[in-house]
Amino acid sequence: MSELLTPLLLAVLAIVDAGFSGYRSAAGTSALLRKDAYYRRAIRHGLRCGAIACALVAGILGVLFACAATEQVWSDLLGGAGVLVWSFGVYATLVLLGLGVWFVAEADLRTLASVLVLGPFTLIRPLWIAATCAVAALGATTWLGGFAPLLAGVVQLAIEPWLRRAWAVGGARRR
Amino acid sequence: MSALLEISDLIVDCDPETGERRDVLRAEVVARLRASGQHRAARLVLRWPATDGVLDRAHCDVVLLRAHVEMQRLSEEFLQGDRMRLLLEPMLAALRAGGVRAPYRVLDIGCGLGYVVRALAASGGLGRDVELLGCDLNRALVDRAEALAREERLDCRFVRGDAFRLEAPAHIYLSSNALHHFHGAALTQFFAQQRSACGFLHYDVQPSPFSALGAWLFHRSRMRKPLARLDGCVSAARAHAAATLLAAARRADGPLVGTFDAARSFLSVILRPMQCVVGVQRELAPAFLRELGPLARRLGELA
Repeated sequence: MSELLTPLLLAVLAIVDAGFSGYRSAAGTSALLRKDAYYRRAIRHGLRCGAIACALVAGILGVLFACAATEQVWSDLLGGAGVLVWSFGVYATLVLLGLGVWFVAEADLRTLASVLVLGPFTLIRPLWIAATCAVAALGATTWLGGFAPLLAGVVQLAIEPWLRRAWAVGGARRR
Repeated sequence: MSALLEISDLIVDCDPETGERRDVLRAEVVARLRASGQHRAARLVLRWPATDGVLDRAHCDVVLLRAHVEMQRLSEEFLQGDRMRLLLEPMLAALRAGGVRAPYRVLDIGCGLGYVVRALAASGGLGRDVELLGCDLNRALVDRAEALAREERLDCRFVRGDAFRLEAPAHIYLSSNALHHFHGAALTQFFAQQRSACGFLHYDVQPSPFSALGAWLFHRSRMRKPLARLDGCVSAARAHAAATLLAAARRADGPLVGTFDAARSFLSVILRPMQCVVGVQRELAPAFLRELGPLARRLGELA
């Protein structure tokens, strides 16, 4: 059970991150004041893409693992997933804390959350993902153990530009 | 090297008398940007379509509109509508207490897409005796602001033109991120034209050692349109210090003037990235300060 918990947590983090990517792809594209429904749709779109991306990565890794299944490879995969879960977990916790403050606090503290957490963390997100995946890949002792975090990172980083393009094409219609 | 320039100030030129749009030469814009050392901005404009060297108006409008939509995020995230309401409500209460005849006309100068006016209209609570109006020289922005207000059934209006040449003058003038567009004599003139108003509230970026970094961080992480990124960073760099604004406003010899949220400490710079120049006629000042309540502590001396 615990062996499945790590990949499961990683999938949850990846899907939530894709949801945020969905939000960002729609942010700044509508000047209306009431945009709740617009953003909800964008977030749902991001979550769906995140789930599909997770299934895609799991599928590719599953096929490759089936071809080269050894205990060492499995241990490498779990080890790499563990590194990703820890790093992305820390990132997600900090961002969610910043968001929590933004949603409940008064104007000045909201600004503080925005200036110190939400802005900088949005900016460093690609670097954080790339660095974490590189560390996880470098720690692997098998080629598949090294390939898996790189694949996951590339797919996760590709989601936002893809969502942005998709929203730019269809977003105006859905607004 | 001359002072920094915003692309959006250069690519649209309107006759101040007639409002008629005038041709803008691409080479001239590019040369001015290069002369001020803004080579990235110059390269961006160089890529825009032009016929016989004249920038394509439709393209400029589309680019401007998209950048303004994106830049609205700044106002949304920093709750610019709420910040304005915080000061506008006490000022309106002071007008009522001072016996100024309603309806009270509140005019946003250089309103762009009218975010602040629309946010004030959406929040309600200002009173039925308040008329909310936005004004901008750019017709494309005004038309979009009007359309947005209509779509959300907001009780406010937008007009194209010079804010100081409208049929009826405003009781209270507002602006957000407009002050840094005026320098020297033009800044004093800006305040002088509001001499007879009951009051004014002009928000702009708070200059500080962190504002350039903060603006870069914000625009880099939030904006995708090159125009929004470039102009956003430049506008923070062009922001006036509180002392400059106060000196210009006081030279204009109008209402009593003070600054709200002008930086007094390291923390206040981080917490309050915007400052407001507040002007209120002498006879309305006591009521305004009373209505402000504890917020009066954040207001510098009115003089």
